Amino acid sequence: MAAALRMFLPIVWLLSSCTPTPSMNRAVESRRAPERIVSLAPGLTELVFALGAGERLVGSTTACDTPEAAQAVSRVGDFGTVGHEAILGRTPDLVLAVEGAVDSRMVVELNAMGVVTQALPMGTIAEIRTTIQRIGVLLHVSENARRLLSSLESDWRRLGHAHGSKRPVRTLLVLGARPLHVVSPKSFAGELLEAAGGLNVVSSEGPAYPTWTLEQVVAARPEVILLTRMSGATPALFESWSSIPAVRDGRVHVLTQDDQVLRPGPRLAEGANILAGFLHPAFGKPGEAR
Amino acid sequence: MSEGVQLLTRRRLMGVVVFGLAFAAVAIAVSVGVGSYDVVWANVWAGVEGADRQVAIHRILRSLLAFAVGSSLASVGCVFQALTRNPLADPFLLGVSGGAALGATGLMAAGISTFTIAQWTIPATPLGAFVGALLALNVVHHLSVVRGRIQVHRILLVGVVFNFFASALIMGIKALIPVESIRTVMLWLMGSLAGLKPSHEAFGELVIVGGLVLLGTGWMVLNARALNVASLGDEGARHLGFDLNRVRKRAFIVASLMVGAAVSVAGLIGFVGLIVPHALRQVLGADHRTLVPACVLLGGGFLVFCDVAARLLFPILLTDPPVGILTALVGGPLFVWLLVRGRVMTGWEDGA
Repeated sequence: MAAALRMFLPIVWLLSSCTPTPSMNRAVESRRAPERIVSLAPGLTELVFALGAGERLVGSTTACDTPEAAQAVSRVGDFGTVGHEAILGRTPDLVLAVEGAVDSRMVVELNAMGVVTQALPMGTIAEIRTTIQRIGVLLHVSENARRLLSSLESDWRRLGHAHGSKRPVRTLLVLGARPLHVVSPKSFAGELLEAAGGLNVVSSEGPAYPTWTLEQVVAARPEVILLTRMSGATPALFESWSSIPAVRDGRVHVLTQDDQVLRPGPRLAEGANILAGFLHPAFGKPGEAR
Repeated sequence: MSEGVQLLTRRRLMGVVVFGLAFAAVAIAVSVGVGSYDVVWANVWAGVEGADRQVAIHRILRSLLAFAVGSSLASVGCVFQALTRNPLADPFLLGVSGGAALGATGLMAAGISTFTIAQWTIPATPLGAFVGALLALNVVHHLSVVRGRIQVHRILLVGVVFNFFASALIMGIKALIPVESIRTVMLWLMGSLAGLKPSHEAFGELVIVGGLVLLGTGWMVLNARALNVASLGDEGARHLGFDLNRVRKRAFIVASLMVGAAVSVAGLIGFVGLIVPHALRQVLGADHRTLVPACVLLGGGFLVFCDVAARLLFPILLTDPPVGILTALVGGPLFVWLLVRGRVMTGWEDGA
């Protein structure tokens, strides 16, 4: 069971939208800005760079590939499986983790050892906003955080202006083909889809990333089907079912760039724009369809 | 077990076959009729190209594949239990699960998703699983032969050790494969008939698995007497002047092809191969002349019903549960009920 849970950790990261546990995040705003930061998630690594503190990172995970400079940071483990010792070996003065993606006992333990460790929520756009603010305070870069937030805010407004008045496009966002693993409105990617002018055909009840069968797809009549790169699927997967409007109209596309859509982080507006390119081909640069 | 052998009459066999066929037909009919999409059958009959027809074809292919997989697992479980005289024997006994899982995850780790031979594109995961299963069987079988004879206790031990070894390797490979493939691996390890595939691919799978099941179960039915003798053990067989070694070798080859095919399309669906033969042995006795056909028909029908149950749960869970969970949830209590009721002997009382 424990092994199974560990296997799912990376997915749990995607699913994480729990409420913060105050006991884990004691007040830690120290007077001195932290100089040696370890990030345990790719989205957090991106955030630290976006806030102009990238050079203070001394540890990250193998999944932290963006921006390019992040690839030079020492690795403390895979995303989802990191050990105490690898973290302690970097002698950090601040460890950042995504809430729900790390073992909460490890957070408590690291704090008890005197290594300030923060588990931050990243499950929804609202949580990402809060986390940006919080990291700004922790790293003593509140001004940069404010700037990042306001630029996100204006990107968001622009999206709203562009797509708010249009008829929402019925869309299915696919994470995996075997099984057919789809995105519900509850998830981060689901929120981006709505912001991009999509109407998610998946119910907002039930799991954030449910498994569907063909029958649900046929019944839901999506106008656009977007296959993430990580799904490994190609439009050929659906070609037998021409009664699905998206298949009939040739609107089954592969998202060749899916990091921005699936990784909660500072590039969320970029992610929404990529989705919008597929939903409203006339708007902006069209997505890379195939 | 002798009781069952003596009681076999043509009428009894016909009764089992007719009941089995009826059960299978009902299971497939229900499975084709039930689902979250409301099929308008008038359109299907009228041959109108559209959603109704496409969903109906999808359901028929899925139901028949479920039936073939269930038949294969139940009949192979039955044969393995007889050959090893071990009530815990299941289709994955001979390292098949480990081998298939290694083959599938190995290709995933190598980033290979399809093979192209001439104009055909073959999905790599099922092929890897099939080849892995056959290689594992070959290795386990090879290690279990002492001076030209298969040692049953060796097969059991080597098979179990191999499966443990393989799962350790899989845990290692898991670290190498992309995070997104882990869900596929997990689902595959649990066993599932879901997984979207284009109709021609589903049809191809059905032809291969169905064909192997037909050939394999045909062999089993023709050799049912030999299987009866095998369940007496080496000593008993020798008294009857019977060489078990030859039957064992052939049965292992037949069974491995069947399980390899089933596992490659549906993953490791547990329980069917263990409980269906046991439950039927409870009811019918241990004569393989009736037991094998019963396992083929009722094992297939059982898996089809479990798949229907999985689909019926969708409106409640809003997600499609893997059928491997249902086989255990449905089959476990059913089996215990039969066992506790204990009307008939299990066939294992005398010495196994």
